[in-house]
Amino acid sequence: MTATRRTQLLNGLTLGSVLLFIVANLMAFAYPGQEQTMGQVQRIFYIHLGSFFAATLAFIVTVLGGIAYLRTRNPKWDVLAHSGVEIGLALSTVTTVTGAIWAKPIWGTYWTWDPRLTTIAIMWLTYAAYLFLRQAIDNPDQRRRFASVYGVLAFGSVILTIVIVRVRPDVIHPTVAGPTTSGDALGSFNMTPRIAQTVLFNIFAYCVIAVALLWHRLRLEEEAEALQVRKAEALGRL
Amino acid sequence: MDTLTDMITGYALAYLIIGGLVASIWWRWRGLKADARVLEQLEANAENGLEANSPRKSQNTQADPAQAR
Repeated sequence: MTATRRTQLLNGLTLGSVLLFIVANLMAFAYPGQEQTMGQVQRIFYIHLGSFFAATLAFIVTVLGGIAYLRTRNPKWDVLAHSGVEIGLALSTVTTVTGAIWAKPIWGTYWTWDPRLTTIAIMWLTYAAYLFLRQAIDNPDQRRRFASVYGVLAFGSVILTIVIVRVRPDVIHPTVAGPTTSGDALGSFNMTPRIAQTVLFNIFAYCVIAVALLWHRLRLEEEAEALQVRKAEALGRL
Repeated sequence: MDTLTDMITGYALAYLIIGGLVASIWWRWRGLKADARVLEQLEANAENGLEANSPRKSQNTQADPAQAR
């Protein structure tokens, strides 16, 4: 694929993401109606769930990038894995912050050491550590190898976060979809067809946004590498 | 339950974080483009035999007083 074609595709994806973001938010505010018990704050669920799924997608990209790097030793896969962590971490910050804001009126506190909240905190810290630890290794090959293995193993914290509400009976975090073992969940609500459609649309929209952001982040790295090469060549000539 | 303020706060913070991420990518992109422009300028100067007037040369001279002497 030529550079021009790639730029055109990226521009199209960017435009599409912006439109999806606008529509997803308009839908969240206007389409499903107001939930009776929680009121307006329930609408936070749409961005909360959307950003979590998009973050999970970005972390899956990190796993795939890490495995591909370990198999091929091609640095471009490490760049992809690194980009996945950057985007995923930002989106999981959105998940955590919106969850805390929702929890205040519903649970009476921004934060509690509920199993689900504890696992998402572990997940966030695990990926934040990935970024810091990368900086600590000077040797590029060693850094890429370490980051690939770490990125693959770190995904365990994502799985734990997803599974915890389905296996622990003492969680207060509601399970919006799928089976649950908890009878103590606070803030559960019935998924009317309109709510379900809005949730699904928001998940789709944020996943597309994550892909667009990942692509931009990759392009940034490619440009930085190309510039480094040009700088080295220019210094060699001077 | 009146939770409109909480909803607005939640969405505002989410937009702020996503906006921050987009701004960070854009800012770094802009920095790279600025670096590329400086490099092009330096290359053009070198080609025209104006190395002595290039910013890198003058910066090096300022950074090393011993060399300047």
